[in-house]
Amino acid sequence: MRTESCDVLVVGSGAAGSVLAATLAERTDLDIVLVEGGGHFAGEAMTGREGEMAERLYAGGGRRTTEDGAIVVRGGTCVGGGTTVNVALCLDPVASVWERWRRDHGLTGFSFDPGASDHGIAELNLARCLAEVRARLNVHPPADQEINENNRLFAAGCRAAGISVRRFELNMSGCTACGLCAAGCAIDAKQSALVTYVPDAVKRGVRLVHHCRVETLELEGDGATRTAVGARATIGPRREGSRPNLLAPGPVRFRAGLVIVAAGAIESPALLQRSGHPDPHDRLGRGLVLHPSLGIIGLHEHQVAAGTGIEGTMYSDHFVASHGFFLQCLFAPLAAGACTLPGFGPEHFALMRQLPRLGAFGVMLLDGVSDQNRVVWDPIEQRPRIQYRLGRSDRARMRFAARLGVEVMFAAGAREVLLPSEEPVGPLETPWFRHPSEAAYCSELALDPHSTVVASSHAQGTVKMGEDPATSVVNARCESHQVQNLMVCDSSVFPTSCGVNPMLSVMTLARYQGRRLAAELGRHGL
Amino acid sequence: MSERRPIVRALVEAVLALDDPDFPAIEVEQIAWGLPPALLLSFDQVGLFAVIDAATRRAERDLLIHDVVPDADIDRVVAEKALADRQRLESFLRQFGPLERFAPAPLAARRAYLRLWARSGFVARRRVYTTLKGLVLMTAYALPELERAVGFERPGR
Repeated sequence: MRTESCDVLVVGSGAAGSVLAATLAERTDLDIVLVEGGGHFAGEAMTGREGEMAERLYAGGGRRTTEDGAIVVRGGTCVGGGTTVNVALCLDPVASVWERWRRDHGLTGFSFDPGASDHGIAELNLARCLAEVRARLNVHPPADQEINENNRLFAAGCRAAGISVRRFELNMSGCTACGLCAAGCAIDAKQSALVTYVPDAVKRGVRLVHHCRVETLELEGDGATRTAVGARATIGPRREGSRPNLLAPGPVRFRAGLVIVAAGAIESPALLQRSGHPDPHDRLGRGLVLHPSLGIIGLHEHQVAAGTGIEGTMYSDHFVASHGFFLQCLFAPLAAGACTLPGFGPEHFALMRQLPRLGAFGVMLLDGVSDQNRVVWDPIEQRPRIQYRLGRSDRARMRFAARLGVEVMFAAGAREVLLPSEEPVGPLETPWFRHPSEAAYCSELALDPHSTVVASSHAQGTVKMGEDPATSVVNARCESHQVQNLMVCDSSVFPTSCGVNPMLSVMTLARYQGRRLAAELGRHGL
Repeated sequence: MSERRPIVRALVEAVLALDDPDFPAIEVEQIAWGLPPALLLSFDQVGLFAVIDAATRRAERDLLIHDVVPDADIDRVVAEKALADRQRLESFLRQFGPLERFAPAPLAARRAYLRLWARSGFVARRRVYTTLKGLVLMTAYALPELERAVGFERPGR
């Protein structure tokens, strides 16, 4: 087996891994290898064809679900990870959430004071790191003319219902509003990691290896001296459309002084589990948060053309503090949307033919933490099992949010409003409402799996960060409590929901840890 | 493939609207991709709808436990759901005759049969419905004929 040696091995090239690699390369002369399980598909490979791009860019070809098959858990498996396939929605990390994490989980550092020097490192704080990330991604609000009709109607509906509404910020530059963000950006307008931090890292000498599936981390020693020394991986054949790879297909062993796992909240715990990472308190993989989302679909009198233009530009955080949910304007791609709509046969086709007049937005729940919701590596099927069910309190909030969403959609002028559900509610065979007063039937929704379509794009919280090894897996430096020279840094380390769409929170965390690590290399003998 | 081809055709016809004059002409073979053979073959046997196998029971128990249904009540709740499904199947058979298989049944019966699975009290049965429906629709709406038929304008890039 070939052996590749380096100082730092970063597993995962998404929001966290790309920023870590680029930051370390910028601030040190370390030899860094950045590995990615998916392919390296750049603009020229983004065909805009939904099924083809799902196979190329998404985990499980876009069909990764919870174990019961009920919730699609979307994630990017490609260079750039989720940042390559998301719709460029940027919400800043929430200071109050991080303050709560500091208080409840004993975390040190993570100051939002731009003058702070956390861990005794000059100018290390989240405020500065966030500003740097925002500048690199060109985060800015869309112009008035970039708000499409679907978003305009959503905003009008919120205002008519007395609900505050805001404009998203987007990480874009030179967007032509083709509306195909989720299929990958063909013109590199979306300022994903694919076109920012990954090239930054590569320009500074980081070796990027894609199509590289890490089978297991290599751990040496026992007990308190257990140490990560590298990983074993298999490089697959380059798929059509991908850029050339640095290493040829076949098995490879990486030797590294420090291993950083940044493979996301599903794959990171699975990798640790199959590598035999000690878990004396049964914490690894537990406490999965998904931000479950429910679509609200409106049938308007006039053409909306919701699939045209920038998909998401408006949102409401009106109920975040009081009830823990967002309303966010989004619209599903055609085939995925077809699966979401209720029914089949002529009724379904009749609804599909209304496509130009359909508007939609989503309710996104900031779900609570439950130990029962978790990721478990399945050694037989060789894949992570995602065990997740909506808790009772989350379901109650989702019902309230659904009712509110239906009212907002009617207030936006929709003639009829429906949910992606085939549950009977009240006297209705399905939640398809012809009058605003019927929104009250949402209180009867059972939200049962395979009756109502709930989706997720924000897995978090499966390798939790905290200072107590009995309740967490990594410390505030993202270092494993159990294994030396092993860090985990991605959305999996969040102790609870980060309170917003997580991209900027993850990238800011990675920038912070990259800067910190560059000043503390001695902790790992580098 | 030869054994399941009539089932695939019967399913695709039921899920889509090939009987609608406005539905575009497409080849069923274009959208048969990815349908799991074992699932299709068991779905085809109408009588199996009333059989509560171990996997169906286990999935339901897991759900009920998660929903904090007391242990002592779980068997009763499962029995009630089984009875409700059996009664719905009997009602279906009274309406459409003593059907044994899905594939050769008339279109209206096939759609009513799909609806049985969609509205079952058992999560495992609803999963069969969402899986079959999803695979057919996901493949069908990737076809340019369907895109055009529903007024989807592929953006220029």
